[in-house]
Amino acid sequence: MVYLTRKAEFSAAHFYHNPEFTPEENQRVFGKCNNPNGHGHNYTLEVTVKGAVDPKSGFVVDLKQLKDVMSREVLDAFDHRFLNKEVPEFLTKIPTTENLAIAIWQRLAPKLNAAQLHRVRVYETPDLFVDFYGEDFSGEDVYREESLAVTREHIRKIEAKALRKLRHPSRSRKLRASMDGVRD
Amino acid sequence: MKTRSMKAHLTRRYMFSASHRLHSDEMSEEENRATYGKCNNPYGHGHNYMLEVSVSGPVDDHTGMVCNLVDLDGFVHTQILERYDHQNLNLLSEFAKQVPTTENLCIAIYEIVKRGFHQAHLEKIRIEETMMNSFEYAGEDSR
Repeated sequence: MVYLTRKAEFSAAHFYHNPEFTPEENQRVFGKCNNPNGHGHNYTLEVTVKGAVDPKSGFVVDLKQLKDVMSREVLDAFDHRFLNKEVPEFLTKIPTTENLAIAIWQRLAPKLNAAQLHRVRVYETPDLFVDFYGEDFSGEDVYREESLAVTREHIRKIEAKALRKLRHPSRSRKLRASMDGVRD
Repeated sequence: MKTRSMKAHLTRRYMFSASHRLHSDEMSEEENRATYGKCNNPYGHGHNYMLEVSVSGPVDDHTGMVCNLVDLDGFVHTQILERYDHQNLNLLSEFAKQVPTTENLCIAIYEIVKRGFHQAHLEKIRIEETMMNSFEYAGEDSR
């Protein structure tokens, strides 16, 4: 497994505000970041993908493709935008660096077919960055589950149902008969 | 899609400047010089340390944050930077019996954050002593 990281930069405006909070709560929780006129940052994005090295090309992933996907899915949408007003995810979610990293992961993961997304790192300033590994808080792999549209709980239920059906006498008798020969 | 808490890792960088001298009372003068070289120079020397504190946790639905940066900054300023910035590390109680290498400094800072900061889970402490060398400590049972 080899890890490859590609950097990109974008500049955007944002502010932090939760409409469910009172103006005082917003001010207390978000401080200067609550200024409704917004402020901006020069963000640095680092996208790390992982995979086996292709024996023919010597690549984990075609960098040109990765760069294009990052430009199309992220930079075109985020660069020189007011995140709260122009990027769909942030019409309802607060554009913190944490939520930016998650949104970028969700934009990139389905589009990277050659390599597997490992980490999205977003620097808001050189002194502050967030890493997102596609995990929810129980440690489950978000992208994998969403791409298959099943959760681990679904899989557990399907497994339990399958075992229940196999144990039903109408099937288990036939299965036992075929197993007897195998065991001896 | 149902909403659930995503896990994010947040890293914040801080700077402090401090002096130290690497010297172990358990070694002879010659051994100290052989082990620590210039760092054993009797009057000590200093560094601009770059400290990285990494924490993790669920991203809060109401704030979009792992923890409020004001809380983390406040804690690090009062408990770490005020303790170490512009100080001689050798004179601090934690280095009375330990050599103030950056390894030991990493562990000391990890312990202070682990003990006192509870708004998010401490993942790791990373310190650059110079641009050429850096040290990380993530606790003993982390790997």
